[in-house]
Amino acid sequence: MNIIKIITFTGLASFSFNGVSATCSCAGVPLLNSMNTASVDKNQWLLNVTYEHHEMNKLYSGSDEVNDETNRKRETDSTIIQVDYGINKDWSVSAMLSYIDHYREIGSSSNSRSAASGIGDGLVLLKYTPQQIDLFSKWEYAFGAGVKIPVGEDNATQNGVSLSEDMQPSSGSYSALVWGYLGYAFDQSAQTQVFMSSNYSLNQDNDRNYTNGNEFNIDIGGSYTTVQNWGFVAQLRYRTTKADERNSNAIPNTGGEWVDFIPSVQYRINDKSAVNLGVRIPLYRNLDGALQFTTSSAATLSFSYAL
Amino acid sequence: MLSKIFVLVLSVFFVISCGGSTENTMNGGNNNANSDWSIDSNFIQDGGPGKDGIPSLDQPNFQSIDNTTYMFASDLIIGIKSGDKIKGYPHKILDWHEVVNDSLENEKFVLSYCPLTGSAVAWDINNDTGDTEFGVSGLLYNSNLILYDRNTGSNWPQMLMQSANGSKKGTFATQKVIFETTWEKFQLMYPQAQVLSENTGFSRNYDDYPYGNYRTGDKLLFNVENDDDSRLHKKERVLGVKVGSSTKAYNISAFSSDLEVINDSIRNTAIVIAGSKDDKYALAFERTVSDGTVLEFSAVYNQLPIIMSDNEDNLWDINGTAVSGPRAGEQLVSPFSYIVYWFAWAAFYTDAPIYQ
Repeated sequence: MNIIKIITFTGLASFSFNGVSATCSCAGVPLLNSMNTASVDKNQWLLNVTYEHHEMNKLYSGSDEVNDETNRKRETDSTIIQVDYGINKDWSVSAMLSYIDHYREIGSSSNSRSAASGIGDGLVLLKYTPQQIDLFSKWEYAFGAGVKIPVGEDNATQNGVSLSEDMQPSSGSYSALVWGYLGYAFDQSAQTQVFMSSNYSLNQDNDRNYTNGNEFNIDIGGSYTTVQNWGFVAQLRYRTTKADERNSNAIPNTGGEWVDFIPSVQYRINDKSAVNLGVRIPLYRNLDGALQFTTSSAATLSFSYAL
Repeated sequence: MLSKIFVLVLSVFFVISCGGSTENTMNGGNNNANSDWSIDSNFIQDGGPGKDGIPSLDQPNFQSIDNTTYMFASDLIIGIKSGDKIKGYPHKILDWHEVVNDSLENEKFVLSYCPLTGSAVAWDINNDTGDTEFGVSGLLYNSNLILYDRNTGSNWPQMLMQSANGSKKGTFATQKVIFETTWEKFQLMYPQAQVLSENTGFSRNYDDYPYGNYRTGDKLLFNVENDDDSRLHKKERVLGVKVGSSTKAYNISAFSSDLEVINDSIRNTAIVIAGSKDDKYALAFERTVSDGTVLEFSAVYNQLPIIMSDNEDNLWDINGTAVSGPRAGEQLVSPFSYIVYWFAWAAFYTDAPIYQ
């Protein structure tokens, strides 16, 4: 399998990435949004490494931005490795593992800096792609189901006290995941495509009886690939999460709705590898509760290698 | 091929894992906090906002009652009086800031309020605390605010009034007398009072309560000890009193509507409790005065801020000050006490008796 096939037959949406939860209350990384959705041929391997820098410094009350006089600085850098393997023509399996680096600082205080890093959550997803874009079809659709596995560190401490859930590298909890993808190519070379994808995660609680709110995402976008190895994607993402819970009690000031614009550009290095650069630009949020920190910006850089 | 990928993945993770850390020591500033706590660390939790993420009010502004338009009659307010000066601190502002560094008659103090445990406690700034401001540590013990002092970074659980971590560990703070009541009664008692202004310098909507239905619901946001004590509703406001190692809780909603005065004792210490269900206040004072006399108190109605008289015909106000009679000017001693949600008192003092 070569990289041009990935670009051509999966839509460049495959290489736009989203990483970290927008709410300050969610631990770990919702890996499903970071997944490379490429289908892979039988017995083929695809490796993808994504780095994301995510800043969560905007303060919102509902849909209104509020000035943050504490000058809070909250960043997460995540590195996600994904390996895909084609079981046969229709079925493939994806495995992902994350490494997370959280940082929090209250700028107005001379006393407040916290950081935690470590391996985050992992994810295994079985994908079924009964129809791919090819010479005989302009449509592609795929489905998947999987599980998020808390393989990493979920008890990072400072001064002997566990850091808050949003500062833990791993959520410490399992999630059940479903995912779907629909793509359409306007021409047989699949240079121009539109696509829609969505996913839902049903989250369980961790050892501290904390549950990240269940999450739904839907992306709609289009892509264009040039013959000179460049590809461009523009997509809109709607994301909604329920409030987080502890002991089945909803945590105030968690959950809400977000709409982001995610443009990205991709360059095919050779037949086997490509790089992708994307940004996430918040367009709208309506956040639950009286006050909530959320994404100010995010940028991703990824590298794909087909074996 | 499979082995190639395996080696590659492992190599990448080996590289990125080298910087990993699970115990963080990035305290910064004047901070000697460490992992040595004198309280059960299983019930210390990071609340989420981080140290100073809930900003204390360090240069609070005040205004007259006439200029205070953001309060409703039933809103709760905390009063502190010194001489002829009195200041009021509404819960609806303290819900967002939790700590006010302030002074009255040139005496520095810290007013702390924890919205999760409903407890308000004022601390003298003295030799024990050091000449310092306090801030919100971002940590909770049994869901209760842990303050930190900005001189040493030591952590002080509010409901214990004792440092539990840092160089001040083991040091007690001194409690100042305060009272809590409704805005309606506060205005009536002290029309000349100065009230905390909503112009705090922070962009907060003080008409919004930041914790949803927490005040009235029976749900908790953090794990606490003894959380299955169901003798009272978890958010029932009680006056908790501690004398030595003995405690007693007085349910405010069980007081008479207008005023009830109870001559009681805890561990052989004679105390008087005054409380009102409708006016939502409750106070505790020792009945033994400076010359060793043990007074018997009774209620005085409709003369706020005067709430009690005694068997020597003294009249006492809500601050425990004799305002007339042979002991005019004397101040009753207040035992360690504060108003608090029942679940929190039960978490700190398991098997705490409730006054019947």
